[in-house]
Amino acid sequence: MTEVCSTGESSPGTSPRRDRSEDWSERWLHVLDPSTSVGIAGMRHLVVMLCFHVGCRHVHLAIRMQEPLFVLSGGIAWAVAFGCLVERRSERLGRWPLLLVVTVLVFGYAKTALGNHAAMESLVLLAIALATPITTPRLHALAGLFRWCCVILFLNSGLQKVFYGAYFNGSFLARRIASDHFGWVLELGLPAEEVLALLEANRAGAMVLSSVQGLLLSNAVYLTEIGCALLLLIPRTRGIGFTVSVATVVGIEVVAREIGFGLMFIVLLLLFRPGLLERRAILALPIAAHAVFGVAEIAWPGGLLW
Amino acid sequence: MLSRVFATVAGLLLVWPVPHYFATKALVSDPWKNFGLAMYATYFEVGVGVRVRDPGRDWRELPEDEASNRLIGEFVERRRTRGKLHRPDRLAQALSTLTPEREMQILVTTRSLDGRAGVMREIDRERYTFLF
Repeated sequence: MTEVCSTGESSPGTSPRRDRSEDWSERWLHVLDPSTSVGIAGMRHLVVMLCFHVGCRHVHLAIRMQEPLFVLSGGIAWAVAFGCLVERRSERLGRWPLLLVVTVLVFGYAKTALGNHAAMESLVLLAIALATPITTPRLHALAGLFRWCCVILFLNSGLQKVFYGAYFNGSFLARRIASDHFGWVLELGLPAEEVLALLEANRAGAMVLSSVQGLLLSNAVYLTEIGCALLLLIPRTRGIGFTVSVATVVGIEVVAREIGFGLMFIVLLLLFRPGLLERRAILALPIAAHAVFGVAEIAWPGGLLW
Repeated sequence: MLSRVFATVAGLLLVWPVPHYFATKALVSDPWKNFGLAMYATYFEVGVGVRVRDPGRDWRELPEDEASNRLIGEFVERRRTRGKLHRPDRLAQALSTLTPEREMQILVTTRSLDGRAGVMREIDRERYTFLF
């Protein structure tokens, strides 16, 4: 008989059960399991937070792109978030995100707003929809996939910086000296003479960082990303890896100001701390964050990227 | 079954940067696009120049205005994602309504950061000619 996650909600905080009959896919998905498993309540909270976040982002896009249709898609996302919150039969949780992923894809492709961020949103929502009806094994598979997404985001972002080789000598950051997003960090971290030289440099020529501080800063970027992925991969360091990863995401977004992506990433990272995810109070996280960023956007129009 | 789908998706995402790297080189597309997670890894610029003439006469640059800039901007955005697969045929058709000349040339130049040298280099240049 298949165990169904219904009103009883599967018990959180228990160690994930390993069945000897697990096939390769289940072993692969369970590689990143923390010491305790996520329950259906935690997954419900994750889905609600994601859908609420999508709604806020679309409303922001409506304002930023002067595109009223995004208000509709944002409203649908919030309605889906509410639906997930009140859905009594947790095994049917996934049917709500299916509506949302279709909306995101349709509106995103229609308005060329389907960047990496929207693609990740769609993947997560589609996975939840596919897992319906949600059973305990499917719940664990879903959590495993999302944990892998976190590791992949860090690892591949770091590796791509290695592939393109623009961080070994700081050539990418050097060209960002005049950017309002990156400029202030570079002005803080680099010697004053180097900052001046970069600001006066001919952008048609070579621009690289030459100071020790600059090279350390530049190489620290991809090393930190790859390091976070490794910390999350290794069971012994997974606990500290969660903390370091959240701090890294916050640090990156303080500079890049891609608030939407950062928030989504942190919500997914919570799967490495299921205990936090199980608490209903966690739902305050996206609400508080969006309230703060909403105020920041009013005070600082165009300063944030969503 | 579902766990196999998820595990396969995770595996594909894990290895995707490698084919993505080579695909962006081949298609001359923006590494920031197509979910390669190469945001902030490099620079990529697409430049579009448009000139028009009646056959047998001298070329002149199409003057910039709000309408043409918007059309070119939309083309550039799609060109970034699809690379050379995205031709400027529709752009040319749309721009032809803004000018009386019957012949149009669209020059698309692409520049990218040479990370090791620290300079922006032209990596592709394509000229498209249209007759209306």
